[in-house]
Amino acid sequence: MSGHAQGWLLRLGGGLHAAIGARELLYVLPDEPQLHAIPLVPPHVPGVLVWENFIVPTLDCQLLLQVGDAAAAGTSTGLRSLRSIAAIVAMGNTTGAQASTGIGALLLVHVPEQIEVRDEQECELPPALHALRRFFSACFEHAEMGPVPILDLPRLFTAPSVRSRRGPAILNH
Amino acid sequence: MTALAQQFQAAQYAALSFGRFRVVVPLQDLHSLEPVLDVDTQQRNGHSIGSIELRDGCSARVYCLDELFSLCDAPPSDQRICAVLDDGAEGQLCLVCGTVEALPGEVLTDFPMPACMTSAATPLAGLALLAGRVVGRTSGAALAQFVAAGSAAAAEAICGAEQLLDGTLV
Repeated sequence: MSGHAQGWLLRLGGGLHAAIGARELLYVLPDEPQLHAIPLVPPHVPGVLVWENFIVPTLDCQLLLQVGDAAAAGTSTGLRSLRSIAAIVAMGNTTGAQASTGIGALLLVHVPEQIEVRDEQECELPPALHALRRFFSACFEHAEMGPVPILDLPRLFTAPSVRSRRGPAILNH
Repeated sequence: MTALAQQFQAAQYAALSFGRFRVVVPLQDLHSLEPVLDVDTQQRNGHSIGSIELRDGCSARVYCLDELFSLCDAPPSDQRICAVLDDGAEGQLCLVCGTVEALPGEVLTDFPMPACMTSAATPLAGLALLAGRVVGRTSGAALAQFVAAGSAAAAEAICGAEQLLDGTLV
């Protein structure tokens, strides 16, 4: 008898989609939740949002993974984004003192869709995602979407900043 | 004692605004406040917009940061207060900001900087919630190092460009 698991299908924008486990989705914030911009952070972190009195880092996966339709990516540094829904996700421990570091948010273009995945659906990552395999824990074949990678949320939310130069940028007016 | 004096006596932090972004620093890092009109712009140097004479007879270089923490060569129109901060090395750093507010510590809820947002480039040590708004946690020393690094990088770029023009750098 084959195993199966519940999960959520996430549409991340630009034709990019991925899945997470059923227990990893905590909440969905529709209607363009207010993002608070923080200076000097990577472009794929357009800001943080406040949820249940937690400050939640918010990722734009399309910019982080640099795949999908670049034209649909919106602006990389401002708060404007075509991805108007935020999924609050758990990265392991979400209770006690570590709670604030165990919660993140992903920007989506559509509300998450509940899915069931069976063992025999497991497949290889598409070649376009091979270089990014560290961000995925597995991949499965979806009847309509084709190969769907499963996000490794702790790795996704610890992806380091590419900004390494110290000090501020210089603006000349 | 006036209500305002009591508020300042109870305060542990100062919140400084740069456009829509606010940072909080320990109140002991705030040396004084000066009006931007007192900045001597004849003393421009690098990316400092000038210098300001302090009440103890010393002077401090004045810098402007926008809400993205980029160094500007003129104060944004909504930033008219010079916050003079101790730079952690017995000197002072003067930053032009929009508002300065004294805060008791209990109004802040602290959060560590999320791992995906940390970098060597940022002077922010963490984030905090202040009345439902997100603010950055930093210090006078961290801001001074941050501004100094930006000025040094700009000076290197200018020096490199001059050497290229002189033909001394190929």
